[in-house]
Amino acid sequence: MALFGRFRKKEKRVLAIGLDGTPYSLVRRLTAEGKLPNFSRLLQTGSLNRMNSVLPTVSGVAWSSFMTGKNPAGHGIFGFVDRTTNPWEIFIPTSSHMKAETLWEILGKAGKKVVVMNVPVTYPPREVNGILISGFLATDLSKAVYPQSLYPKLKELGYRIDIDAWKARESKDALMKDLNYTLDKRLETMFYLMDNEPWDFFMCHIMETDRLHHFLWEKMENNDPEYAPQFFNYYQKIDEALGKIEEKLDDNTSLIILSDHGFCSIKQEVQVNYYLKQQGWLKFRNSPAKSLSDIDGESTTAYSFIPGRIFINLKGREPEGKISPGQDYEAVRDELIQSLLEMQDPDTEEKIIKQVYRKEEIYEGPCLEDAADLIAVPFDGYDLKGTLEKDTLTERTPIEGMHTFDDAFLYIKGEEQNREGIAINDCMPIILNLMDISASRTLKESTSRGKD
Amino acid sequence: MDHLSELENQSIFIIREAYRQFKKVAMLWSIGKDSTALLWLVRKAFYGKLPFPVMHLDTGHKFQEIYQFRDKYAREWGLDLIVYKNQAAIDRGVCPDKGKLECCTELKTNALKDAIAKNNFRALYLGIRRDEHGIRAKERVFSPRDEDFEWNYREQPPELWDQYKTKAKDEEHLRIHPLLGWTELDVWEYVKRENLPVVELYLSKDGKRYRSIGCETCCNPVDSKAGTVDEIIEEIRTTDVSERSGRAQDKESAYMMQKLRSLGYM
Repeated sequence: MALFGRFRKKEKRVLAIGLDGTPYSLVRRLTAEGKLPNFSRLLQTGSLNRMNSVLPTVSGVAWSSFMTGKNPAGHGIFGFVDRTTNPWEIFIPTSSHMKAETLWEILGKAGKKVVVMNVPVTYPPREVNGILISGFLATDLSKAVYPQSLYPKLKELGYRIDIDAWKARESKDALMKDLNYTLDKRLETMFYLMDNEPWDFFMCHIMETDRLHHFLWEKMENNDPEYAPQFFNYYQKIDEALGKIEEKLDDNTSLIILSDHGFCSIKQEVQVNYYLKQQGWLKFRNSPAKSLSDIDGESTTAYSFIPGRIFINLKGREPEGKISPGQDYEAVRDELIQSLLEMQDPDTEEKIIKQVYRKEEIYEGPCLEDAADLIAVPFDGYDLKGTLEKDTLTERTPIEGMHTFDDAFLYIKGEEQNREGIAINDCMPIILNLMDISASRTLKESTSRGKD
Repeated sequence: MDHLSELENQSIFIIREAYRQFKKVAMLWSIGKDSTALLWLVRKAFYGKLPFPVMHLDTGHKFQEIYQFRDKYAREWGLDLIVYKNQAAIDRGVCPDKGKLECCTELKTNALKDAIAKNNFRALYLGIRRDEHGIRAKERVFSPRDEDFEWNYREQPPELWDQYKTKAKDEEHLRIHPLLGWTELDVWEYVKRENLPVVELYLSKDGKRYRSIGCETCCNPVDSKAGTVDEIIEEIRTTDVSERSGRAQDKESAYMMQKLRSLGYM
């Protein structure tokens, strides 16, 4: 094949780097301050766009929208946890619950070779034309690799899926050590695969930035003498890798770098179920409640999942449904929206909820039925939680940073013009376009951000 | 021969064959329907008198009904019952509230490791079935585990035409699965044919019943009106809800829950 390959028309390739939770505003700031020399140089030869994430703004949902080009009702992933109704239980959605084709599956069908590393919600690995190493929430590396034959090599390289966040909760130094090790191994593996495997589309996702932000964002913002420099050093390490990547690019390869959401400091974590309980919308049979089956269906109107997803206790759908579909359901949703908008921080009396959407206002697609009935969006700083057992409205934990919706970014090398108002599910047609693949077949369904 | 008799014959053959190879064996009895059916087959295989002990791994969190059932039938059937608890872990405070994954690992997996080592068992009979769970589809009737308890499912001999590799290396122990080819429905039909007792949790009460039982803390009932064995058989013939759907506690999802919790997502 090598012989023929030489005479073949050079095909367009794409190399994509995902930086989980890196805000557009942070990239602007660090490049302006000269902290990221390689990224600064890249900005001169490409466009840096501010990008919207998805609702709810969590990585699993955002990357699902990235890889399918659809909004959540199009791919069926609505959060890190979801529920079954018989039995009434929480489960964790994985790639096997994703009800749409992924970018790499579409590329494979078009005969393109792919290498996909570490993207969330790709576990268990679905078959691709090339290589796929699952990311966040993959349990065991040996089960997270397609094809299986690559596993011994990854083990030899010391590759790791994710850091151990329990350690991070105990010690920030242990966190930094773990983050550095995991990133080093990820980059080493990335360059190994880039150089040794055939590919038309290569994507490496760096989860570590999100972890860094969750545990150190406030320290960075407050210029903590010990940890702010470590925060910036970490970005410099990534910047060095971007420099090396740039050296490897040829004329046929486009580079894109993107994130899935922004970040800000947490003022308070907010227990939405506690609020619903206080306002009389939710009642438990046992206290502290441990599982959904502790919800007292007869006296419950609504309950919440992380972050800000509110399910109405609907007759015929929830196991102990109380609210009738139709008029009653609509009336309850109206009342709940009002009630949620009134939620206040008990310390400062600031409003917590910025907006509440009915699901059909922001989602469209075959999985709409599975979506929460209301999606509450908080003001930046209020991180909505969905635990059942907490007995306080607000609290602080070792977690310092939370996600923001409108501050993700998309960088495209070689593009001059900025793209206004794009969202993460617009990336797929952009990538297909960069590779000269007709997107018409997939586009019909995928430009479904229509309702954003 | 009818289907159930054929399954019964095969299972009894496997049970006797394994005992001939390994005298130092035991049977794991979870008191659930499958291992109770297995126990019944083992009793038949040895004409009512078991030549080896029956072991119950007790986490301390089992349903009361399970303990009552265990003690009643251990007495009635004259079993040499070993109840094994990982007391050291329990004393350390391991329990479902502090982490379900750790709890399962300590009170089930490590308890079993201990029990095997202490009693020097070379082989264990288990009542698992292929149709229970995806990963079990790859199981063999004679299935070796190495000293770390690892099951190398990629390197197993095939078991074509019921030819079993019944030998094990010294450092290994063998898991023997006489019910591997049975389905959930087969088990219930066998329960009916042999008039076997089952823990009453399986039968519907107030519109709910358990399809799979274990620790009270980690099992949830499913909606069901099946209050008798006959009604259960009818229900299983028609349902599309999976048997273990009431079990939150798959190791994998327990791991994922822990991960989400560590990041504040739960």
